[in-house]
Amino acid sequence: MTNLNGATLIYNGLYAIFSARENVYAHLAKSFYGSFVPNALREEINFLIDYAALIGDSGRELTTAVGCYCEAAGNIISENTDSLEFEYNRLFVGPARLIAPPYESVYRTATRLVMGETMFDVKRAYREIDMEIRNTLREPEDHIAIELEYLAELQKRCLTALEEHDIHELRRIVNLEITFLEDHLLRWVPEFCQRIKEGSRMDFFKALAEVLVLLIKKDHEILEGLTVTLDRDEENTFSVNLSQTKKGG
Amino acid sequence: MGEGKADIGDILQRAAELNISRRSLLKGGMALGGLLALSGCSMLERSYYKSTPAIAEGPAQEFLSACPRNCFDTCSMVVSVKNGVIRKVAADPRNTFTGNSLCVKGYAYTNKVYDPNRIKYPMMQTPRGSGNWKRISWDEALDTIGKKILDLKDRYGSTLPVCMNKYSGNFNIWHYCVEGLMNSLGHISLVMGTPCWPAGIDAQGYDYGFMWNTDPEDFVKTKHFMLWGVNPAWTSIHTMKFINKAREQNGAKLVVIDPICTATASKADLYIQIRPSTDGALALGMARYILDNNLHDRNWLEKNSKGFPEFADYLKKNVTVDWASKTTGVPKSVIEQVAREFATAKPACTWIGYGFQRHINGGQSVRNVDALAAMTGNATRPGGGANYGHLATWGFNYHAMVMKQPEGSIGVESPDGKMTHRNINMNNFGRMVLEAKNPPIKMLWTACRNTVSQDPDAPIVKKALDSLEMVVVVDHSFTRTAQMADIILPTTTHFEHPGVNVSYWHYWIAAVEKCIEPLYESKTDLEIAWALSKKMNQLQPGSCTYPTEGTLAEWTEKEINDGINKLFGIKGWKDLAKKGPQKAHFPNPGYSDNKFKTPSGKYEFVSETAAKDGHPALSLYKEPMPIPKDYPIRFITPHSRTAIHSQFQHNPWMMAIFPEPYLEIHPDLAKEKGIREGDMVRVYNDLGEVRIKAKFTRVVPKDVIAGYENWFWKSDFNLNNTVKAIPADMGKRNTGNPGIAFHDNFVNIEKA
Repeated sequence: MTNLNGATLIYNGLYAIFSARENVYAHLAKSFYGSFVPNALREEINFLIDYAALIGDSGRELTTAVGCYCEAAGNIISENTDSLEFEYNRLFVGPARLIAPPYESVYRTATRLVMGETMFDVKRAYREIDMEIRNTLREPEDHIAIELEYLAELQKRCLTALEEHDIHELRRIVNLEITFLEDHLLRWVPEFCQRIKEGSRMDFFKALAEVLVLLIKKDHEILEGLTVTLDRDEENTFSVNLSQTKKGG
Repeated sequence: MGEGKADIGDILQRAAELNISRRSLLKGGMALGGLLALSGCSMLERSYYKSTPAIAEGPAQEFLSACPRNCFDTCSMVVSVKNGVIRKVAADPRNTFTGNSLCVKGYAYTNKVYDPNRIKYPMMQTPRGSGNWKRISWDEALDTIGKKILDLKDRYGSTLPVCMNKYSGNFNIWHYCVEGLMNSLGHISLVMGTPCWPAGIDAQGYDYGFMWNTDPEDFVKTKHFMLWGVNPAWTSIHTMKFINKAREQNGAKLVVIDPICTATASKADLYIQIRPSTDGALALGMARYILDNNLHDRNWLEKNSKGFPEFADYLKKNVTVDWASKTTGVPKSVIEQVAREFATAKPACTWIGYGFQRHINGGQSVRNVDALAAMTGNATRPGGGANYGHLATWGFNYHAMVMKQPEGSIGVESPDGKMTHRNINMNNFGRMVLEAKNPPIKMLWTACRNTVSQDPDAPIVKKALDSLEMVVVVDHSFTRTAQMADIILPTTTHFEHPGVNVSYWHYWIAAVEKCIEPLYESKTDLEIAWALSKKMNQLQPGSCTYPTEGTLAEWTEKEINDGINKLFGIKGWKDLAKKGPQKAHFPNPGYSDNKFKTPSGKYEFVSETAAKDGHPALSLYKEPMPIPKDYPIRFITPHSRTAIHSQFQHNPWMMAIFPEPYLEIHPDLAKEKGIREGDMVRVYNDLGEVRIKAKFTRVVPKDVIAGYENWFWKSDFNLNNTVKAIPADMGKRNTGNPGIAFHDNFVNIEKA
C-alpha cells in the first residue's frame, strides 16, 4: 500500500474520481450523440471499466453491465459500423417513429412533447454555469447527450476547483451535480433506457442503456457520500489539508 | 452512512492508490474535455452572455397565423409563444367566420410541432424501403438529387423523367414554389388535377361560368338548408355555427341528404338516406314536382337563365316523381314535401359536398342540383345558392410558381408547337408513372402530399414508386410515402415561416407570421427550392432558372398584388399582418348581381361548353355506375373528424379518441356474412383488400359499408387499397384532369 498523508490522499483521490467521472460522462455523451469510431470506442470503454473498479461496485451490477457493454462493443468493432448508425437512428433520430425519443421533456410532461417546461429547467442549469447549446431554439436542449455533456463539464469544473483549492466552489458544483441528477436524469433515464432495452435490435444499445441507468444511480450515491464527507469536515481539516496540498498531487 | 450514499473514504483511498492523475488519464496530453470537442459532437458551449441572464420570463408574445390545411374553414389563429416555444394556439375572433374556436385538430397543433417523431434532418435510405437510414447534410442531399436530375437529363435528353407530385398539404400561397422549382428545371412529368372536387368545378363552370359559393356567414339569412353529401359537423364545424343560428333565429329547416346518417344528419329536421350516386334523380324529381306545381321562379328564369324551356321539356318527357322515388329509394311523399318546402322558402340554400361528386356521374349530378337551385330563384340569392366552393379570393401573383424553363428545354410538344410538361393524371398516378414511355419516369419529387396513402390504386402506386431510380420526399411526418423515399428532406410547419392563406369557402384572408425558429434542420419548401437551384447551377450552370436566394418575408409580400389589396382593403402583406385577418369586399358576392361568366352571361341549363367537352348540353340525368356482380357492396370512405386525409390522426390526442379504424356495417349485412361485432373483416375486390374491425350500426344502409379515411401509424390500414382509378365524369376543363370516383368503390366482404 502506498503511504500517503491525509491531504495528499484526499487530493489525489478526489482528483482521480472527478477525472474518471469526466471521462465516463464524456464517453456516454459521445455515444448518445451517435459518434461510434471503433478504436476510440474500445479505448473509452476502459474508462468505464476503471470507474467501476474505482467505486468498488459492491453489487457488481455495474461491473457486469460494463462487461456486457464491452463485449457488445467488441463485436461491433469487427462489423460494419453502418449497422450501428442505422440502429442509432432507428432508436433516437428517425425519420421513422422513435423507439426511445432521447429528449427529457418527452418523459416528463403530460403531453409527451419536446421543448416542454422541464427543458427550461435544464436550460437554466446550463446557464447557471455559463453554458448554452448551439442551435438554441432549434434543437431541444434536454437531449440525453447534452445532459451527459453538461455533467462531463461539471467534472471539469470540479477538477479546476480542486486545482485552485477552492473548496466552496467544489461543494457548489457537487451540489449542482446532485440536483441535476435528482431533478433530471434520475427521473427520466430509467424509462428511456427501458425503451432502448425493449426496442433495440442490437446488444450494444441494450448494454449501453443498462450501463447508463446503473451509472447515474451509482454516481448519485457517490456524490451523496462525497457531500457527507465534505459536511463531516467539522474542523475544516479537509479544507485545510486540501489547501496545504500542492497542486498536481 | 445513510442508504444510497457511498462510503467515500474507501473510494478515496482506492483512487489515490490507483494514482490516477489528470495527466495520466490522457493520451498524448489531450485536454480531458477534448474527448467531446475533438469528436466534433459537442453541443454545449460557453455562453456568449457575460453573466448568467435568466431565461426571459416575460409575457407570452402573440403572433398571427392561419391554418393552411385543405379545409373549408381555414381558420385565423393567434399563437402564443414564450421563450421561443409555442404555448397555445387559439382562434382569432377578428375573423368572424372563425369566431372564438378552432377545431379539435387546430387545438392540437402544438402536438404536431413538438412531436418527438417529427422528421428532423435530411436522411437517406439504402436500399429504399429497408428502414436503414443515414443522416446526411443538406449539401450532400441536394448534391445527390442535383446529380441525379442532370444524369437523367443526360441519359434521356430532357427532364421529362423527373416527376413531381404535390398537392394540398399546405395551401400557403408561396408553397406553389414546389411547382415553380420544377418549372425551373425544364419540362417535367407534372402530376396535374386534384382528387378533391374536379367534377363539381366543371359542372358549376358549365352552369354558372365558375363556382362561387355564397358567403357562408350569410347562411344566417337562410330559411331552408338542403345539405347534400356534406358533413360539416365533422368537416366544417364553423359553418355549423351559422346553420345553427339560422335555425334558432329564422326557424330554418335543415334537410340532410346522404347515404350515411352522418353527425350532421343526426341534427337535421329531416334526414334522407338516398341510394348512393342517384342524387341527380332526386334533384330532377323535385324539379318536376316544382314545375308541375308552378313553384318555380319564372321571373328570375326569364331574365337570368338560358335553356330553361328545354330543361322543362326534358323534365316533362323523362322525369316523374315516381321514377325519382324508385331510383333513389326516397318515398314519393318525402320528395314532394321537400320540393315544396325548398321552393317556397326564400332564401333556400343547397350545399353540395365534395363526396357527392366522387362518382362517375358526379359532375352531371351537381348540374342537376344546380338546376334545382336555379329554377327556384335561389342560385344567386344571398344565403341561398347551390354552394360548392369558390376561388374568388385566390387572385395572387403566384410569384413563387411562375418560372420559365431553361432555354431550349425539351418537353411534350403541344398541338400549337409549344413545349409543355407531360400531364400525369393525379387520379391515375401509379399507372401513368408505370406506363410512361419515351422517356420513362425515373425520379419523383413529392411535397405537401402523401400519395401512397391518398391515391386510388394504392397497390399500384407502391409499384410505381418501386420502379423509380430516386424518390425524394419533403415532409414533417414519416408518411407511407416517406417510408418509400431514398431521400427525405425535413420541412417546416406553418408556425416556422411567414405566409398568407385564403379559403375556398369563406371570404377571409389571413397573414401567417413566423412564430418560432424552424426546428432541427427543417427548411421551408421555398428555401429548399433556392438551395437546390443554387446546387444545380453549381453542378451545371444554367440548368435551373429558379432564384437561388431571397427572404421569406419578401417572397410572401411578392404574392400580393393590387387586386388582392383592393379586395381586402390592405396595403400588402405587412399591412395585413398588422391589421389582422380581413374579409373580401365583394360588391356582389356569389353572383348576387346575376352576372355570370358563361358564354351567354346567363345561368345555363343548356351549356354548349359542356357539349363541346363531350357531356350532355342539358342538365339531364346520368346513370350511376352499374354494380358489379362479384362485388355488390359499396365501400364509402369519407373524411374523419380527427383527420384531414393523412394529416393529424397520428397525433396522440386523436389517437386517444379514435384509437383504431373501424368499419361501419349494417347488422343485417353482417349477419348474412357471419360477421359479429368486433370481428376483423376482410374488405376486398380484384384490386386489393383492407382488414378492418366491424362496428355494427344502422347509419349505413344494408348494401353500403363505410370506413373513415385516416392514416394510423400503427397499422398498414389503407382504405385506398380497393379504390380503382375510375374517373369521375368531369374535371378536365378546370383542373387538367377528371376527378376520381372514390365512392364508386365496390367490394365484397368476409370475416377475416
